[in-house]
Amino acid sequence: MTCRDIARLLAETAPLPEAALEHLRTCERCRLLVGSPAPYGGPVSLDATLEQRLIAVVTQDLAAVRPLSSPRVYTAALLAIAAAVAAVGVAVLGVRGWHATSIVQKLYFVTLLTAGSTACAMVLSRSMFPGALPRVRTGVLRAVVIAAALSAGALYPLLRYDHFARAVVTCFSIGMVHAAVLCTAAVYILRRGLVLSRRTAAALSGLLGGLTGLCVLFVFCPHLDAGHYLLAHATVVIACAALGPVIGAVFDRRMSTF
Amino acid sequence: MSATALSNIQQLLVRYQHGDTAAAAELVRAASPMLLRFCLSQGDRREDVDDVLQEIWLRIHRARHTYRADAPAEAWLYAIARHTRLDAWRRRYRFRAREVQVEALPETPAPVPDTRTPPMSELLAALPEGQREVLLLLKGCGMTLEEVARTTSSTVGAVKQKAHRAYECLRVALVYVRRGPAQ
Repeated sequence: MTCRDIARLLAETAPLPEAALEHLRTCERCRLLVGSPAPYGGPVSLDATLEQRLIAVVTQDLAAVRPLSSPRVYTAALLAIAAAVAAVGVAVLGVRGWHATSIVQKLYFVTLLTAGSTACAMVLSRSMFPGALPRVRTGVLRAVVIAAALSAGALYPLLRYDHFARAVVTCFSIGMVHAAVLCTAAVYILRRGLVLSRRTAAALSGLLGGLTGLCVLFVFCPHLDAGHYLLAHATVVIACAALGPVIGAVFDRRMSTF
Repeated sequence: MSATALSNIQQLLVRYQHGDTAAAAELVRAASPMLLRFCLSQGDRREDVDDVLQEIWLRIHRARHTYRADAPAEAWLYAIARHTRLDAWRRRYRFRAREVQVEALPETPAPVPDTRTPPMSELLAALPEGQREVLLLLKGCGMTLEEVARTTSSTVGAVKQKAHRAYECLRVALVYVRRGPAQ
């Protein structure tokens, strides 16, 4: 019998078996754990009235429910929505940017947008399932995506032109509008599950929205200038990634039922 | 929790999703003690825990469709319990921040210094919240590293790191208590 077995046995209400007692004779750490007062060790009792109350909570209006589909289904749904939002945006605004960019820029952005969006959608869909194991830490994912988006500025030359400020505001607004549409749609999907950390989910939704906005801007915007890219395109990703947790925290506070 | 009991909870959860009232009642009897212990082990008061437990079951009831039969039942239950407890804590914190003390507390005699090893509760109370939670889930609830990661919405690596730091803190605290401060 190992220390882990002892920890598992202590979580049960039954008395310890002989094998466990044998282990305790030789292991000081487990003796300390067993000797500690409840609730760290030993059984805890549930009041009969409380138990009846809890049973009433789960049995009233009890109806059969269909379990949620696999997280992969929701990952695909989120990616499909992102693609649809980007497609509509591109259809309305045009593809001048795509024709103006070089093959290296195209390769870089296609890789960044595909990998970033897929990773965001995967982590986001898993957040709908309590107890699902997150494969990537949200903070790390956000940092990597933002760093990659900013690094893309090195692919553009530095240019000067007259309507710089107006172009920046226009592109930033376009990116943010697309991000907002994506985030609203993502909320409808996430509501099907139980999102325990709204802050994290909002951060990921924002990041996915930011990448969708970046995708539209990359295909549409013909301004091949590092300053324009950093101030109008990359900031969409940064602003969405920063705004997401703030909005999530506000919702967290307002929607907390307890 | 033994493997048989866990598999039983898993089966009960599936039957609960199918609308089986008897399974729902049995699930409450089987899982409530471990949820109760989890809340108590985090340092909550018993009178608060009863309300939290009811809220946990309410959330479990509303979110029963999010359980998938191929996922570990224990991690699913603990993840909901953990977040419900945190919500309750935040609410109490907000309440206390607005409370106004109207009466002075009666004076209490100074505590008698205890030379024995302090109880585990005191040692754990000194740990940071995140480390204490990981340690209690690992040792108090008998969960594996992966289950703790699922419950705390964290990665296995992060859980390992927190557990390691908690062991180090406890080791230092125990040495300090038994031998006195290092020279």
